[in-house]
Amino acid sequence: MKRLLYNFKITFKNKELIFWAFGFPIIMATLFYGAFSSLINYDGMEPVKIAFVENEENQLYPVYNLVIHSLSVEDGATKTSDSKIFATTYINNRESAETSLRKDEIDGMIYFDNATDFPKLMVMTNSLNSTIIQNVMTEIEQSITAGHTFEPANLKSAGDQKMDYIMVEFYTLLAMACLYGGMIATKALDKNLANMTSSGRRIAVSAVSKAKIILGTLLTSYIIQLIGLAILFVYLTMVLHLDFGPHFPMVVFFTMVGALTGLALGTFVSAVFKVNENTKDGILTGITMLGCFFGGMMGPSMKYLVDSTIPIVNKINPSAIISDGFYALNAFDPDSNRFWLDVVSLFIITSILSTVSIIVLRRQKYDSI
Amino acid sequence: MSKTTAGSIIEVKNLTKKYKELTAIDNLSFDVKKGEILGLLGPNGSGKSTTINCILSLLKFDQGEIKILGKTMAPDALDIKREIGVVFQDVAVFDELTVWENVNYFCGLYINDKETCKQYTEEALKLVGLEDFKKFLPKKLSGGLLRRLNIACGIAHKPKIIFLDEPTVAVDPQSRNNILDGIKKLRDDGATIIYTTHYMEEVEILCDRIIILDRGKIIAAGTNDSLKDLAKVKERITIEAELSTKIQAKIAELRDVVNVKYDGKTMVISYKDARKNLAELVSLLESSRISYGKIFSERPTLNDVFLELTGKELRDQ
Ligand SMILES: Nc1ncnc2c1ncn2[C@@H]1O[C@H](COP(=O)(O)OP(=O)(O)OP(=O)(O)O)[C@@H](O)[C@H]1O
Ligand SMILES: [Mg+2]
Repeated sequence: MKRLLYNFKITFKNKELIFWAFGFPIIMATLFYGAFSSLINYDGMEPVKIAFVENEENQLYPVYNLVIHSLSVEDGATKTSDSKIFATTYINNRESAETSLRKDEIDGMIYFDNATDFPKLMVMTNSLNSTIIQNVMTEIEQSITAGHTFEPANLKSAGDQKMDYIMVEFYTLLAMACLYGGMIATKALDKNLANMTSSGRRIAVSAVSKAKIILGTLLTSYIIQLIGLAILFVYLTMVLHLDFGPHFPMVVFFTMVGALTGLALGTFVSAVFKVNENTKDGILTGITMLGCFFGGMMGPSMKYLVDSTIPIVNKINPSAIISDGFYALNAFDPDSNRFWLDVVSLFIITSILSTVSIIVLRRQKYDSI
Repeated sequence: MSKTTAGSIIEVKNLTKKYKELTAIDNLSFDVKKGEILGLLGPNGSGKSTTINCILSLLKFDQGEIKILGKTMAPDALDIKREIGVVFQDVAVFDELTVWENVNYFCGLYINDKETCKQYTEEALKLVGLEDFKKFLPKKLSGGLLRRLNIACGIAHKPKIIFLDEPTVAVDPQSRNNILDGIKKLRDDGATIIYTTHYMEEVEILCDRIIILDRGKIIAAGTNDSLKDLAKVKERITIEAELSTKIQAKIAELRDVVNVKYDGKTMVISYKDARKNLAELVSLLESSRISYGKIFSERPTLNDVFLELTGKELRDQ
């Protein structure tokens, strides 16, 4: 017990570690919030400008014509309302629509390639607006494929869609914080391993078994990680007033699962890589940041690109899985397959990392120290 | 073969340890007796730390057997480990904890009772003379004080067996004396001590028995005096005087003289025995009416022994 208290003290006194594990996510959250605040405090926003290229020959054209119309604001209106989120220009030739797109006069163009297929979407930039158009087009296509009539009323308002988009950023931020917290375990374990530090050597020759030492270290590291995440949540909800949806207990549960993955990752880095402290920090930061990048931290377009070209990456990328889980929890409900698939994936990743770590950590004698 | 030497606390038999190609420890065997201070003396890289780390079951070794308190040592032999205290060559303390907390933390790895642990912490700090630095962080301590803290952390739990790996390296003379006194006190309190160093004067004043290591092999072992008896040169007399060739030849012919070196100012005379040499030399000089400046006699040092056995110097100071 006393040993655990000392472990806490040793970690909390490591200012650099506390900054990276606790302070850094809060700073990132603040920066994100600053970047999105103009969007978050919306109050009817500018409609998304699109061009709809007419094509009577396509069999789906009449349906789309109706739907797009119902999603569009009155001519000249400058604010969206409910599901009316587009300011649509109807054009009969594709070239001039493309020209407008290039000139940045519109955010996207919808056109038909031939007589049978669903319409295509062309956007120029990977902006929030292009994401909104993409989402809407996907939803329409899905309901038509499923044989339903598309209900514009079911579509989220533009404001909500923006909020979803913004929240994804914060979900990846939470993912980052979960994984980054693994650094606490890395540092704490290193201090206890004979082949890493001289203090570890001293502990290794002591009268406490290695298993006890390691379990104690991991327990304190996990608790400290959770404290850091709790502080981050308080900041996100109380100070930034972000809404994590109606299933907050599940959000907490999922965060704990994510933090466990972070703990396993931190343990893995400590156990497996026999390199100096800074290199270990680099490895952990690298894995986390690259994962978050592929998972959409710098805008969802990266995630979109990765998902569509090499889908396996984000299926095993803990950052992407964690942020996807938060998304699923908010967009669907806790019983959704997608959410539980994410939970199971995290448990699998955690088990693999832990198993490898245990095999390495079981060693009691070293070839050289 | 497996006869247990009576009174042996540690038995090392045929220990061999290789780091890839390099044989760091080469078929080493020795015992440590209850209550003694055993000195492992050897130059840098002779295998002192490797030996200790093998005994402690930190390192795998290629061959050999290690018994402590009559039982085979293993990483999970916690009952043996409870009786051992180790002061490693590198300072091993937590920078985040104060002097007191460090000692208390490491003591707590052996002593479960909180009050006893506190009391032992105080006693260890007193032993190394750090009572006035309890609240200091290790960063604020000088090199010598840090070494003392390192020692306090290793011995606070009052172990029966103590390993000290070069505890006085890079330490000021005051701290060094404090450390050596502390180690003697530990022995007087009943501990068995294994002390490594490459400072020969330390083993001379501290150790009951000395093992001289070189390249992972024992090249000599015994008490301070018995080791010095190994030296061919038993006495060396240095004299400052102007000496003619004739008198130089006379000196060289004195009893037991094995070697004479003269640089025109100072003569160093080596004897193979130490019986009344100084008196005989002085009477020779006086009967030849030669006036002389400094004259002094030296007994051989462990360095001489090492030099004779290996052809190289033990690094000293
Ligand atoms: N981890 C290692 N890998 C490879 N070789 C090593 C390792 N540790 C020590 N050695 C080598 O083994 C030999 C014995 O080293 P050891 O550290 O035991 O010597 P030492 O007597 O303690 O020296 P010092 O006085 O410098 O502490 C040396 O030649 C050293 O270079
Ligand atoms: Mg050494």
